Amino acid sequence: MSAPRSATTPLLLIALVALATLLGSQGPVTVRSATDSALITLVVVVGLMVFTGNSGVYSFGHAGFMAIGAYTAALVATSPEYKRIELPDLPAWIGNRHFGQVEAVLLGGALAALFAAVIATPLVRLSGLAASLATVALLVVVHDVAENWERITRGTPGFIVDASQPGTWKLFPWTAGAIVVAWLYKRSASGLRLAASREDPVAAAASGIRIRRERAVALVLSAFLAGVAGGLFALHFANISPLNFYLSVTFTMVAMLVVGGAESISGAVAGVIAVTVLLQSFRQIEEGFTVAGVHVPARPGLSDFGLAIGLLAILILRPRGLTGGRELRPPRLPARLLERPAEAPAAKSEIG
Amino acid sequence: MSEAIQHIVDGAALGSFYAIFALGIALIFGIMRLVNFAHGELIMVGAFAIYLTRTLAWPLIVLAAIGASVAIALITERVAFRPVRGASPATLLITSFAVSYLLQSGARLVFTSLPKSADIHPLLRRSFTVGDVFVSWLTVFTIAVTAGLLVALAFFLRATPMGTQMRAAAEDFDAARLCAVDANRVVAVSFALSGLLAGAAALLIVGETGTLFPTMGLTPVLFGFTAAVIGGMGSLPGAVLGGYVLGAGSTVLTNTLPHGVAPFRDALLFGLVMLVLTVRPEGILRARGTVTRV
Repeated sequence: MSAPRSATTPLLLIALVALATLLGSQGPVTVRSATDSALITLVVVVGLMVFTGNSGVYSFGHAGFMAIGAYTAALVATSPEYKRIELPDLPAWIGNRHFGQVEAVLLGGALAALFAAVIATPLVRLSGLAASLATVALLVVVHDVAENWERITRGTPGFIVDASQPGTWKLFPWTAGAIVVAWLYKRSASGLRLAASREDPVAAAASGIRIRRERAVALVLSAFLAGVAGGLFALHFANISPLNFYLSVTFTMVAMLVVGGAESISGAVAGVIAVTVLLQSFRQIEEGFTVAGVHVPARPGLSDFGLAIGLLAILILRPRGLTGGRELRPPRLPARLLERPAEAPAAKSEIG
Repeated sequence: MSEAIQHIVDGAALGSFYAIFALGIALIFGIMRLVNFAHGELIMVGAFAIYLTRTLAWPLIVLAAIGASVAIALITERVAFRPVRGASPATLLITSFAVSYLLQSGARLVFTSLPKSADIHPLLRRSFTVGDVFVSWLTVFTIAVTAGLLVALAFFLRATPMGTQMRAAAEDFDAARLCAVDANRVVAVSFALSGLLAGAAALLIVGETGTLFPTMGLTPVLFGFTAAVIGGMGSLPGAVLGGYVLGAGSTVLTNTLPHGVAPFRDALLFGLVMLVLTVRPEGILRARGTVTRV
């Protein structure tokens, strides 16, 4: 096994994200805000890749896990005095809690993971389309509860989180951590067994792989990352409502993963960066501008339109995404310098 | 007693709505294993056609709504779904999400996201009472239009050569092609039919609410999809049955849920979908050709 060489993948990806963050943090306020948002989105998209990329089952329910993480983190990080005003009907045992930011985010992730563990039992029985549809149903359920459980969530208008906002470089360690966790899982025995079940479920089952168990493990880990992303979202933007965690964010998330290539962590990272840059450029046009005295009026909806076109183009022209499921690696030295036998077949087995 | 009849009438009207949504989704799924989330946007496009022609006579409005939905259904099939035909169902699902998002943001670009209003015919807002039962003309139309469409669709599928080809393609697409069924034609016709159903749905929805907006397709597609899943994905009688089961179920839930739980009706309904998918993934009526063999 060429473990040392493949360990460079997460390091390269983290370096890439650091570079993108550095570039973004120098820009105007809209670009800085998009950079922060992308760092949070990276956590959830990498989390989505842990389940979807390794199992081949598309989940549309991760925004629901995000919502659970976000509301949990928001509820425990907001000061008790503020909660008494914003959420007077909150049960006292939540109302009087006050956690630090890191603990709040981790608790958000933990609760999302716990929820995933509960629903994993029915969910992992399903394959392919039925599983994807069940996750859509899951998303609707979580959204409906968030919208109507007003005692806890304040319903549709949402609530404002009273906690100091973490800055760009406080988000960065979470993103880097998510990449490392995803890489560790992908290289683990469970991750490899799950990837085998994605490639050929029948052969995998015949080789003694318990597909349902591996899927459940991936789902719980993946929901943890989504919950962490939700917690970060709540504390960073300090204002959450059920609509933040519904179809629009689901679509963006899945689009990012598909555009980048669902089967690799590099794909998830590339997808988030590519789609963020695309959306951001469209948003500049969307808001209207003046070129050489000619005023181009604002066109709301243009960035979503552009994203949909981009996703369709990728689906039709390059269905396996920009990375095609491969991981980012340093360029290989010519084989004769390494004095090792040709490693093409070995390299092939590492893909996926 | 009259209260019970009232609930039955309301449930039947709601069920007819859901059945029309579900049929459009099940029709496409049966042929090409595509869960078309863009079906809601076909309804939305039909609604905007009603808005654009709202000053004309009602037969022209009906033609415009159905024509627009059918046209968009055929265009999306040709441009987006044909190139990915044969891909995995998950890829098809994502493609339909992309198409749905594209049409939605396109509508926002052109019409902005502010709701518009349109009135098809004043009669739809009137109502009458039979004994103590309150019936709106819209309910009558909804049930009649659904029944008419069901009969026409059944006739088409059973008694015409194209219908036979479609049923063959739904059962085994590859085998049907080997028997010289023109795949492109069958798929195009099923998209046209789903567009027709979407146009009819648009007329009924705008007739009921009088308002339209770019995201209006979401609720119909979610409930239509739920009904199709409950009834058995790909089975057309199943979709209709699922629609009425869902209509009856949500009427019962609305009227029997205790006050504290009532707002969570949709959460319960979609929880039920998850349950159905887990316990009986093939739905109430299993469609032929949807069972995977190893």
